[in-house]
Amino acid sequence: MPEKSVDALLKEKKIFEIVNPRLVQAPPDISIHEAIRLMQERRSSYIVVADNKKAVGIFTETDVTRKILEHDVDWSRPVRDFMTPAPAVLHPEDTVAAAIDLMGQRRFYHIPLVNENEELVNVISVRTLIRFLAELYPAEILNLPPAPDQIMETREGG
Amino acid sequence: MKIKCPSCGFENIQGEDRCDQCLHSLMQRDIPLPKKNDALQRVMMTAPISDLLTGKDLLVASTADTLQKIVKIFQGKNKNCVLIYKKKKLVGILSQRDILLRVAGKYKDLSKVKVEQVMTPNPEYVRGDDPIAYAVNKMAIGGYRHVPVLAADGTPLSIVLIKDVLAYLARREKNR
Repeated sequence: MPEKSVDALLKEKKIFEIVNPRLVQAPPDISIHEAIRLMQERRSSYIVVADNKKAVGIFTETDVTRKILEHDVDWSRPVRDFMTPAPAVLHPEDTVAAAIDLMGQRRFYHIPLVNENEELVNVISVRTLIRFLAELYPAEILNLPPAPDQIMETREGG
Repeated sequence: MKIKCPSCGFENIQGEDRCDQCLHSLMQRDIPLPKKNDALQRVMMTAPISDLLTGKDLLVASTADTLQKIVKIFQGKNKNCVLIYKKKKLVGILSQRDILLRVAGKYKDLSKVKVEQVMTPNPEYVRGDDPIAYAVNKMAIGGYRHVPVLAADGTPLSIVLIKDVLAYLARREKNR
């Protein structure tokens, strides 16, 4: 268990300290077809659309269900036409609290991270945040019974 | 006084070591406690999941529904996750992520694809009076962004979204 309060820790911890180096990106002119295949291959719900190192948009599972499936869309059209343009971004030096704030308010699952030159460097996902939060709590309360019929041979520590 | 089993919700008589119904240990129920000075930790470990439900997220469909129908509902209602019931029992969950990874581009005609074929079967769930930390744990370990919330008899109450947890924490920050 951390010594500091969780509140304090969230305000102190920087995003770059908790993110994984896993960024799925593509240029704006790839086709819908290629974009969806890329997401499926990488098992990713998003693509950060980057043009000349700048994050110009984000294309997500929501865009796929809302704008593409069951719509008469030509899958060879570029992803640029369907992405959400000008996504909110954060800097790797911003705090974890800022990321929680932004995701909670604006309801994003992924936020691109850019450096001081506004160049795309990474992405922070909602799952990374929740894993980080989960680690802040004592294991016992979180250790739900995985198998209800399991019987422990000895008491904990015994 | 009865002691409620943290696993199955069965009410045991006081002093039992294990739940009579599911044999889950009742010994750890009261430990550990949140640190006294830590407001955020306290709320996560004591506030019930029902606190953060908006009541707007519940959506239920059947295994026999078509993907076409589900996609239309997602589009019309601005939803991204549905619980799948069969004979009054929760048997699966279907999210936009499942649709993206398992359906998009793989089937020509969505009216011929049944929910059953592509849903994630046997999802983990929580109860409304479980602490928020339980839901957070399921999300962290399983990588889920949606966890069903069921009543003791298995009827669906809501879906807790990973966003709801973050929004709840963010709102708390604002209010202080």
